[in-house]
Amino acid sequence: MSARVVNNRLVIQPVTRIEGHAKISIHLDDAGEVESAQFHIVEFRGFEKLAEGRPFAEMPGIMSRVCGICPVSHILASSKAGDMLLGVEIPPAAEKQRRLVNYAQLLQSHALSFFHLSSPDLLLGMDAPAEKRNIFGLLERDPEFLRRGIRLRQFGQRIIEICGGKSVHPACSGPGGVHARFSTAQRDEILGWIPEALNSVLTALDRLKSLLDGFAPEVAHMGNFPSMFLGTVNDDGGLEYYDGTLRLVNASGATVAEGLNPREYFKYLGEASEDYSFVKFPFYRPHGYPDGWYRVGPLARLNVAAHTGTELADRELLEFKQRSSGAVCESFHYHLARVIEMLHAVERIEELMNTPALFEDQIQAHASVNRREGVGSCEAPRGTLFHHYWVDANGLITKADLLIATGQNNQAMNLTVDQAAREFLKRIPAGTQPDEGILNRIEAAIRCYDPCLSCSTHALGQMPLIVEWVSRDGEVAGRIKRPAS
Amino acid sequence: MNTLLIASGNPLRGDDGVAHEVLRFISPGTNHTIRSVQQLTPELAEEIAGFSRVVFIDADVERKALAIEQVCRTVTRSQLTHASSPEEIVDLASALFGFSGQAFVCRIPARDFSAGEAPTREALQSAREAAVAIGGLIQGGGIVD
Repeated sequence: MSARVVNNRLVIQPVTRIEGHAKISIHLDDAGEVESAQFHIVEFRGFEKLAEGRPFAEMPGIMSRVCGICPVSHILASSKAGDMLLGVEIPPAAEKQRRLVNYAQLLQSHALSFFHLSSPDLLLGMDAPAEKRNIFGLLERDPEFLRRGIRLRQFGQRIIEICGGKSVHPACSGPGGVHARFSTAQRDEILGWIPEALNSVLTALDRLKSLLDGFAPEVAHMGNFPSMFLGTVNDDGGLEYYDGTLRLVNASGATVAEGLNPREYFKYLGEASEDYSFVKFPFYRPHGYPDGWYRVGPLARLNVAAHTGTELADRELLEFKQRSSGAVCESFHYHLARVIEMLHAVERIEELMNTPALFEDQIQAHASVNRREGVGSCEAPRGTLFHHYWVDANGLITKADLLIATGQNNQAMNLTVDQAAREFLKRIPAGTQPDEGILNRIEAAIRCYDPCLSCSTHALGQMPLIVEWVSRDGEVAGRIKRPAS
Repeated sequence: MNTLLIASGNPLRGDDGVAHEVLRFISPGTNHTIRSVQQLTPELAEEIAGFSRVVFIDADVERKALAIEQVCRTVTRSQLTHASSPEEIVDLASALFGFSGQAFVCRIPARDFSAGEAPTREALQSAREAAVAIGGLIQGGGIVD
């Protein structure tokens, strides 16, 4: 990473081992103590504008390009918005297949986050040399652990490839259903992976739980604060990723709201903006902005769900919930929640392989535009995702609104960076530079959320980098710039 | 000797997608397998281990002429966490999946990475030359400069 104190401002840019481009600014007072910190998302994608004028049937293919890590989530949310525009209920086989790719997406994305991005910190230590804190450091320390992680991600990617032709930006789903029938040969291939996948996830779970005691300061000070949590649940309050209602709980675990219709998200979720970041700041309308902020993603989902519905994951959820008398509020436990979700995903994938409806012939409901407004929602790996389209009589998009999962954690990430900076950085005496391990902890605080800042069009290999130093009165006193190659 | 040809690059960014054109120019055969990817990821490591030779094909903005080189086996670390270099993938393939074959990288000179599906004429010409050179490699002729 690149970080240097200039004129009472420490900028960490780029933030490493996350998906996408971001920087962290830490403002110091004259004594060198942390005054405030901010997490800036420095990408501008503009997909809401790109969608205008396009046929709504194209949206899943276009919107999948929002991200190269979680394209399936955008495809599904977009497809569901299209279902609503058509006014159809998709056939059971299509619904099962969409659920299948959603679990596969969850598995591969979480495997990437845990094994490739975060486990170098967890297994090698936050203070390990920077040049070792990557999968190659892991390769030296524990090649079998790394191999399991690569194979787990490969399993999820393979399912996506089976259903959509390729693992990145697959063509697996569209308005009205899915594009191909699922075969028994495909089932047999997937079932062949299950024993190894289960074993690998359980190994990862045991390993992580054995390490947690060694990270007590990080657990206590990396995003440990009360907040609300938002996630999708099914009819009996269980964990749900494809279709359900939304539940919001507070830090005590008490329900703030439930039975919320995702198609009417705009009635209870608002979006504010701040001038230091391109990402919006969503909030729960009844509580206003900024008080109405909340967290989404694995930690939130396990906090709002009463159970998972699968045997092994239910056992882990019960143990997870015992970490707190209310909701589990420590953001460090996103890692544990992520691995529990991986376990649940493998169990659900196996169940789906033994579900007769998955193999039925009908995979597409046919209709033309029957509504001018459609909303689709699903649980992406990083949290609840909404796609909202307005169309004209010909089905051309006139307006689009995307409420992205990572954006809903924006406020939490800012507070997390501030908390971590105050605790671990504390004070930088004049004329000194901060310890690299300390800076890694501030980055690692962000990695708890596994933010996906959209990197699918990043083609050339060198991130643009701007470092500014700002005087006390807010004026830019200097700037250096490295352009994208 | 069976060969895996891996073309990487964004086909929607002009010359960045020229590697995929190389695969189109290579005649089908029984002793090679082609793979087109947007970027190199660790999941390729296991597949590579099943072959006795791998050739990575990619656009290169710093090259003025076509080059096919052996992959250097020292570990480098990519700043990009979602993509890896040929050297890194080969290292993973060796260490985790027992790959012990030959590894080459074919670098196609490229200059225009603006949005669009068609590489430049110059890049396409280099792609044709690359296909010939790689074809020779596959047939056991070694690297043709």
